[in-house]
Amino acid sequence: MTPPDPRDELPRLADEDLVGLVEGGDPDAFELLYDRHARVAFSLAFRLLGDRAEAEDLVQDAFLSVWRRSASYAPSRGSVRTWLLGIVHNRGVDRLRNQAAGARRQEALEGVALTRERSPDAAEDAVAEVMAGHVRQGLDDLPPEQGQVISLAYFGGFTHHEIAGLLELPLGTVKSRMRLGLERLRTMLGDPGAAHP
Amino acid sequence: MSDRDEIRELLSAVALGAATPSEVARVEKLAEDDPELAAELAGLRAAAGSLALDVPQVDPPPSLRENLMAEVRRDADVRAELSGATAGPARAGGGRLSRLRAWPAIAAVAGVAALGLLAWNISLQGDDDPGVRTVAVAGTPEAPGAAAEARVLPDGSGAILTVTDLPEPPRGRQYELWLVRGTEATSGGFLPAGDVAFAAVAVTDLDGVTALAITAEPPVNTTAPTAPPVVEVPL
Repeated sequence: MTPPDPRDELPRLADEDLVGLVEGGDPDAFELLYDRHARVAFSLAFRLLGDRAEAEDLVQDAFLSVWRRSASYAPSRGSVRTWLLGIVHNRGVDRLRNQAAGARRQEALEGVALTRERSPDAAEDAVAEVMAGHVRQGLDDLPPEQGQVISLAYFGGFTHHEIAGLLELPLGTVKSRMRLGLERLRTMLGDPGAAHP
Repeated sequence: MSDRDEIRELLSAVALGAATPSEVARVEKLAEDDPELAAELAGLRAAAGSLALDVPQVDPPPSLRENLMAEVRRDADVRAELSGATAGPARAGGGRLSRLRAWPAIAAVAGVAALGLLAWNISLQGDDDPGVRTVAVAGTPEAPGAAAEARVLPDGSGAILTVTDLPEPPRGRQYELWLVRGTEATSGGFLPAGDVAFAAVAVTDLDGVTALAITAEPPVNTTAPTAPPVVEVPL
């Protein structure tokens, strides 16, 4: 009787187990991680940068970082998806901050509205759609002033100091709105960083 | 406001990527010793990360996957060769000789036509061979997160330098390898652009070389380093 091929077991592994294999240099485990998370990572990159070529470059950069620095993943800091999207987001924000300030400001302010748009393709992935629905509902339920600072920070790449200047608000007010909004979102979503699968 | 209140106020900004680098460093350092704070930060980061789920979903192009996996498998081959062991599962036809074929893609620097042969020689010597000298250093203050390791053949005919975690070079600059002989430095070529997380280069002429150094230079012919080294490996 032929012993089972360990490769066949990979799809059954949780993300955290795959990261452990990636740390040992397993490209097949990495490929599976890519397949699980590339779409949301690319969507975030495209939303941040607004350009397909730039988004591709960012996602490639982020996933290569996952491949080469997988040892930096700590389960205590959240799920693999949260870690991965954090890398995409941090690097995307770095790129945004290198853009001309004027262009960034305009795009970010326009982007506040874009965050509420529905995706025509989202229905393809039922699980993602359910999660997206929760997030969308959560954002819709936030007081507008809290949603605004969260969107400017997360999608616009602005620091809280910059947001205070942009909206002509005291820094303390911006911090409070961020805290209240994100804590409320967290409560509404439960644990959005739950591991896959 | 107490220090703790101030930190709690900062947590959301950190989670959203809206804090300054010094604020992030401060919060993360405190979280290392405070499990409650660490859990709070993890929860807020997860909530912030969930925002990515609400953006219009766009499929990445297949070419992105192909390019990425080609680079990953090349990296895996290099790692396996450097460690003298097979890294991860063997692929079909993935023996030592086929792995070595991946080297020329990495070897586009430093006059390294003989990189495959050099890697072969060094891997034959093995980690335990006292003849292969390994020099490992941390990055200079210009790149404190970086690390470098040179594995030098016993007869001094060549070395493989691996560099990890370099910071992004300043805009318009690219990392360049220098072969230092006393107070003189000659260029060993540029590292591939964008390959800052992991790079492997070979040096086949170590005659008189006292150190290997890497600096960020404009991508033109320069006769001497114009920037402080990010990595300096004494030989």
